[in-house]
Amino acid sequence: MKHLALIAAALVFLSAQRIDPKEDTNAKIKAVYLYNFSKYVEWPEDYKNGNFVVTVVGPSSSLLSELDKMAQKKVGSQPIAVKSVSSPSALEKSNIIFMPFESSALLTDVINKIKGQSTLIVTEKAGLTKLGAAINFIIKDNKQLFELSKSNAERYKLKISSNLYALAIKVE
Amino acid sequence: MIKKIIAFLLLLFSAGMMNAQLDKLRAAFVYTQAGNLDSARILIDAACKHPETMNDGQTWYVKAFIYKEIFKKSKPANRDLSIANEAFEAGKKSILLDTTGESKQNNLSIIKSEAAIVNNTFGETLDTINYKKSIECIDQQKLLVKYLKPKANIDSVGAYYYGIMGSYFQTAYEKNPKKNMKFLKIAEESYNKVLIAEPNNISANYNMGIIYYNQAVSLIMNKLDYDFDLATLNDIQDEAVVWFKKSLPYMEKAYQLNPRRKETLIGLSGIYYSLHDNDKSQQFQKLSQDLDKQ
Repeated sequence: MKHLALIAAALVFLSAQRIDPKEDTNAKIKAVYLYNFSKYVEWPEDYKNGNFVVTVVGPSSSLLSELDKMAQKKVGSQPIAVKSVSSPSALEKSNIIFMPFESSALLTDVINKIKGQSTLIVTEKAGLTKLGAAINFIIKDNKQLFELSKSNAERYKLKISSNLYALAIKVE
Repeated sequence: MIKKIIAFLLLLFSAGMMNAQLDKLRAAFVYTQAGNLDSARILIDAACKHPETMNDGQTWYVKAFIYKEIFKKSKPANRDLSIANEAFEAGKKSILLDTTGESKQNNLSIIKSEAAIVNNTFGETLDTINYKKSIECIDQQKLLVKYLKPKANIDSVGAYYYGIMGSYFQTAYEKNPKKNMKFLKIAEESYNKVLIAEPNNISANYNMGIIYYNQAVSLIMNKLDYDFDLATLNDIQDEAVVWFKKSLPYMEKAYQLNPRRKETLIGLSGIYYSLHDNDKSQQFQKLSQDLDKQ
């Protein structure tokens, strides 16, 4: 039996253990960021009841998988509900809207759709805070960091905590 | 082997060593056959120190045989490599002392047999408890192979065994990464030894890359909790980047050595993706997909 184990070990050495593509570290980091944003941003009262809704616009299967894990937690007393829509027209009342890089071109449509609502728009393409996103993920030194436009957040009646502001790359 | 020994001893007993010391050698052999190795050892040790027999190659031949049997008789985890080495040294001395060359093949047979036992002991003790015995086996096997095959690359012999050891402990670690961190260290040390001997060993380079990549992934997927604050998230990202960057040169080297190995292409795509270099990640992903089409 031991000999078989030795042969197996030799074969493993000569063959290869593959990287598991299901383990998307970038998606996990984004999900942890989004959950932190829920703790450091204050929404108006009518957004503090019922589900805390996080909506992803466009395809992002690995992020959705991570967000489903995040949805096992709560924001205060609110259960988290994760939704996915393929187009801005399908958007419903959300606390956070996340737009993956591939959906960046839809930002203007999203902004028009949620006019008058209190939604934190999070994007991940350079320059989108200038187009209305409150938070935009950027890459610096191989890490995911985030830009924050306080004025864009306030436009949606959102209060940013000083802790979040201190850790952000500030843009206006 | 036993038949050879009997034939050799008959030759030995008829070749003029007719005295009390011969009786001791004969008794040592009888004890060995009866499985009384402790008594055989006492007699042969005495013969190897006695002026009448200590310079006779045949005495050392019997010692080589008895010590090899002592080594073999113990359970693998209890095998004493110094006994194996004494058998080896006795065999070498026998060949040197035997000017007729008659016993050379018999001594070489004992040394080859010992090499087979050491090889098996390596496998039989390669587990998370007895692995230090495996490491001793590697060192002994290098000595034996160096003697049996003087032109063989001894560093490659070590690399072969350390590659297997690295793979064993890498697998042991991955069964329970949180609990088995020390196994990962052993795997890393083993692959390092392979790479010192064979810098162009593809498997060792690839596996070393995987070890460091998995360290980073484990940090993010297992250690990073949703309740961690942003400062901690930042720290964990810093640490993960260090591991990903440590992984990269090994995977790059594996790629240089064989640009058509699919696992390496997937590995590089994964590392660059995790380092947020999407262009390079996609470049290697495409190379991997192109391989599938061929």
